[in-house]
Amino acid sequence: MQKRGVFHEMKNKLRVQRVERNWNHGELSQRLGVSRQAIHAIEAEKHDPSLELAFKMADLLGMTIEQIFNQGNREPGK
Amino acid sequence: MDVEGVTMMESPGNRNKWRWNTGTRLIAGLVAGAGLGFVVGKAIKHGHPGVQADGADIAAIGLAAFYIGATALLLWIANDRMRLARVLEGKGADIPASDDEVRSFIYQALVMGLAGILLALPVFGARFLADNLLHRQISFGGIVLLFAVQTYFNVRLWRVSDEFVRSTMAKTAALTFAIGQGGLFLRAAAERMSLLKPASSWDLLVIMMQLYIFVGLFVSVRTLDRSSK
Repeated sequence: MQKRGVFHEMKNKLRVQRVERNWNHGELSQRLGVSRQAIHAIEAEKHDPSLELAFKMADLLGMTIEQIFNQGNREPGK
Repeated sequence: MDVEGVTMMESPGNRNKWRWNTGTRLIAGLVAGAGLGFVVGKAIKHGHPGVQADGADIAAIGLAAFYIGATALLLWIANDRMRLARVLEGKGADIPASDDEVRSFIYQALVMGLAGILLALPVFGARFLADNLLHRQISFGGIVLLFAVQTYFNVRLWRVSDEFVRSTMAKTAALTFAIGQGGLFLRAAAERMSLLKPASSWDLLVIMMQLYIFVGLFVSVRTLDRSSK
């Protein structure tokens, strides 16, 4: 079983996607309507976004939520 | 282009180093604030030989000094949008803080500053108005009013905060309650069994506020670590 943080944070590819698009934390935070601290915390896997924010991220990045977030070695549908 | 994230991913050792430095600064701030409060409390006692300043009062003054000092720092930071952006994002920030970020920071400062004043007022009121009931009653009315103002800004802070800040506030409150409840139970049980002297509600409040600061710092250091995985 994957070891998770005290508050069960998921793994994500947000930092990679942000860097690929040449956005800094401020730009991404403004595009998503959240604070820079939120972006930092999500990238550092210290905070899991709400469903609403996860959908916003998916729309902004043109990806599905599952492509951005995962639970480590968990396979989809299992 | 912000490459900090890529750099940090290639240097996992930097993560622990960053957290230790932040934790060290926070602990240093706590110690400095506690020391300042101790000095102020002792100064009050020294300036008024008849004043009896107990541990809870000195701790309350220490907390008040910490809160008020932190408030001044937060307001100074919030006064410059780029400075605030660098605090929130790190040295690579090139977009000034938004209106919401400034507003949230200012509300946090006001809530903290008012908390400091509210912790100090009962101590001073008890010591310097001991002989005048009417003045104490009026002062207490002022405390109630200030408490209402602080509650207003607490609500405003919650409303302007995003999900992450709200989550941090909720986690801090939940941890403080869980630890405080356990500690209070043990204390109350020992007191009920006459193993400890009775504690006043003021003593317990000051302990709770100290616990809240420690828990808040723990949650903040954990979640504000800007290193990558």
